[in-house]
Amino acid sequence: MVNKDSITNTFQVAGALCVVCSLMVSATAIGLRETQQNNVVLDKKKNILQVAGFSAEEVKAMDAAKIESFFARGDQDKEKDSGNEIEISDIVVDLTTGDTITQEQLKEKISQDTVISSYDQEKQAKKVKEGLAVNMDVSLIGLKEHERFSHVYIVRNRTKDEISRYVFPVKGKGLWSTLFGYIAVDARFQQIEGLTFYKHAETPGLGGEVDNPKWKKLWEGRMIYDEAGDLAKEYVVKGTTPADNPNAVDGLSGATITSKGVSNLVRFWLSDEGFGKFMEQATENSSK
Amino acid sequence: MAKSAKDVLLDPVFNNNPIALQVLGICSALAVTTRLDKSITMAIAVIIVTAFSSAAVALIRSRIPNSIRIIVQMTIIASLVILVDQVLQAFVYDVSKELSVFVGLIITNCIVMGRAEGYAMQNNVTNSFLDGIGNGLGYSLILIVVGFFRELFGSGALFGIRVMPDFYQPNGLMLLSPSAFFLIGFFIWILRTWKPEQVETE
Repeated sequence: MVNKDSITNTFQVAGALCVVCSLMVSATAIGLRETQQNNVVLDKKKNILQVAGFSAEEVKAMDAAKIESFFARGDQDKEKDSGNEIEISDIVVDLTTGDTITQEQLKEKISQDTVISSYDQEKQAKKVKEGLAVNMDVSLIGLKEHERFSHVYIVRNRTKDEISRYVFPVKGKGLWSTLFGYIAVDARFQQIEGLTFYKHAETPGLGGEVDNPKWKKLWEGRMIYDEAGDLAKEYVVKGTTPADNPNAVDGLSGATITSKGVSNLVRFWLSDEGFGKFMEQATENSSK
Repeated sequence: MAKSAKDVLLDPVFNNNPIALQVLGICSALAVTTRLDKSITMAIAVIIVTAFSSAAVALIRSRIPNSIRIIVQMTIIASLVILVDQVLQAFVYDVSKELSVFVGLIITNCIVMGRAEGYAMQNNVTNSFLDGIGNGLGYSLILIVVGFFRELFGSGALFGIRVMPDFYQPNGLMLLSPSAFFLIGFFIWILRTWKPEQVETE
C-alpha cells in the first residue's frame, strides 16, 4: 500500500488525473464538434427566419429541412419548388463601398474554397492587414475592428415578386459579452422590422431579456430615421418610450449597459460605417 | 451499518432529500424551473454528473491525497460537467441555449460536491454510484415538481403546449424566481407533515 499522502503520490495522482480528464474532455469536444457546428448554423438560420417575418413559435415548429428550404441555393434548387411564400437569398457586400461581391471576387479575396453560402465573416473580423477587416479607433460597438465583407440576406416575397426585407448581421458589446444577432429592415430602408440575437452572455433575467419575445416585438415598425432624416440618437431609451418617439424601444430594466449596447449597435450598423453605403446603393438601383 | 442498495438509492429521494432536508442546490432549482423540459434536462444532467463523479471519486479514494482531495473532486466533477454540456450542445441545442450558464454551474452545485466529499470518499464504487443517482433523483423530484407547477400556472402550458382552458390568465409571478421559493417551501411543508421526524428540534 502506497502512502497516499506522500509528495510522490500527490504528484502522481494530480498528473494522472489531469491527463485522463483532459483526454476525456478533448475527445468529446472533437467528436461532437461537427454536430454542434451544424446546430449553430441552423440556429443562425432560425434567427434569420424570425426577423424575416415568422413568429418564434412558427420557427420552433420547423424541422431542419423546412428551415433550409427557405434559403435559395442557386441552380440546384430550381427543379424542386419549395412552395414557400418567401425565399431568402444570401449575398456578400463590401461594407466600405456598399458593392455586392460576386462569388469569383470572394474567392479571390479570401480563399479558393470560399463559397458565399458558407462564408464565415466572423473569422475575417480581425484581419485588418490582409484588407479583409476594417479598423476603427473609436467605435460605438466597443470593438476595435470588424469584417469588411458581410452577408446580407434578401427576403423576397414570391407571390408579389418583390423584395420584402433585408436582414443584416449585427454585433456589438453589451455588459459582459459581444451580442451577435440580425436586424431586419424593410425594402425601402425606412423602418426596422425586427431584431434578434443568437449569441450573447448577458445576465439572465436582466440583460438576457434581449431574448424576451415581448421585447423583441417592440422593434417591429420602429423608424430608422428621425424627423430631420438622420439616424436616431438612441434606439433604446431608459424606461418607457415617449409616444412621440417613433425610433426607439423601451429600455430593459436593470440592464442599462446592455440596453445602451443594443442601442449603439443598431445605430452603428445602420450608419455609413455599417450597411449605410449598401442601403444607399440599393435605393439608387431600385429607383433607376 | 451497511445499508442495502435499495436504501442507498431511495433514501435521498424522500428521507434525506438534498433540497428539502439539507437545503442544498437551491440556486439552480430557482433558475431552471420555469419550464418542465428545462427542469427535466437539468435533472438528467445532474443525475449523470452526481452518479459518475461519486463513482469516480470512490474508485480512486484510496489514492487521493488528503491535501488535494477537494481539487481532485472538483477536477472530476468539472470534466463531467463539460462532457454533459458538450453532449447537450450537440443533441438538444435549443434547451442547452436556454439553460445557458446553469449547466456549467452544476460544477458549483453543493449536492455534487457534497456527495463526493461526504459519501464517496468513504464508500465503495457501487454504493457511491447508487448514492449519486439517488441524490440526483432527490434533486430531480423537486425540480420536476416545481417545474410542473411553474409552467402550468405561469404559462398555462406543459412542455410548451397549452393545457389550461382559454379563460385562464397566466400568472407572471410563477415565472419569476420567488415563486420557486414558495413552491419549495410548500414541498418541504408537505414532506415534513408526512414524515414528522424530519422536523428540526427547536
